[in-house]
Amino acid sequence: MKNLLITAGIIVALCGLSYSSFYALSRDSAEVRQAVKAGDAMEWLRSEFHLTDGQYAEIQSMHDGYYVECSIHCADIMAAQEEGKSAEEVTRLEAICESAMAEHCRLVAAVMNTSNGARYLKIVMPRIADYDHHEAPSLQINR
Amino acid sequence: MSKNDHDKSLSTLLSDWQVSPTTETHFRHEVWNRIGQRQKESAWPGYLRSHAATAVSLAIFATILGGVTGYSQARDQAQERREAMATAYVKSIDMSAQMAQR
Repeated sequence: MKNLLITAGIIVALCGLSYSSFYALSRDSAEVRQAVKAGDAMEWLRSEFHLTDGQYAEIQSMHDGYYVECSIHCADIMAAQEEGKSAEEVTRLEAICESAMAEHCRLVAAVMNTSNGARYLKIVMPRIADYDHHEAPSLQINR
Repeated sequence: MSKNDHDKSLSTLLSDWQVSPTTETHFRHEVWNRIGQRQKESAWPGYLRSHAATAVSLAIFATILGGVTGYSQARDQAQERREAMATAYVKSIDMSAQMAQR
């Protein structure tokens, strides 16, 4: 009975060791986990796509520039809604906004290396296509 | 032969009888050897040797099970976080989302 328990204990320990090893090797890097924990989208971008300091600074600058353009699109959409313009007009303005955002993301992807840029577009583009301009954000964003 | 004569001859026979046992010089050593052998058989390494096939099969199964579970759980968590952060990122570059947040 004692020998059986020792054997069972060693097998369970092996299972636990294997689990821990594969879990540690397969999870996100410490930088990604830290960015996720902080809810910092830009830090996540930096660590997820392995951006250099130069790439990161360039992308941040592009985001700041796009922020102005986006605010103009948003103001147009809100004005159209407040003025009670037709749904088609609001949809057209939203399409302009989405198109501008998609173009901005393509430019951001071009700053990254080829494989990371392609991965970035694969992750981001579907979210832009499905974007709801009236959706309340559910996550805290730290810029 | 009377009873007395019989007793006398038995006594003579018994007094003449001598036992000369053969000496086994390794007797004690052999006894301890046998005790040691039994102890080895009941110890864990002996138990493991006698159940080697089952133990190795279970160990391999447990290692694979642990590895697959650990890998898939880590990947699932990473994917879930990636989805959430990608959504947060898109919102972070969108003016209307940030205005709605304020």
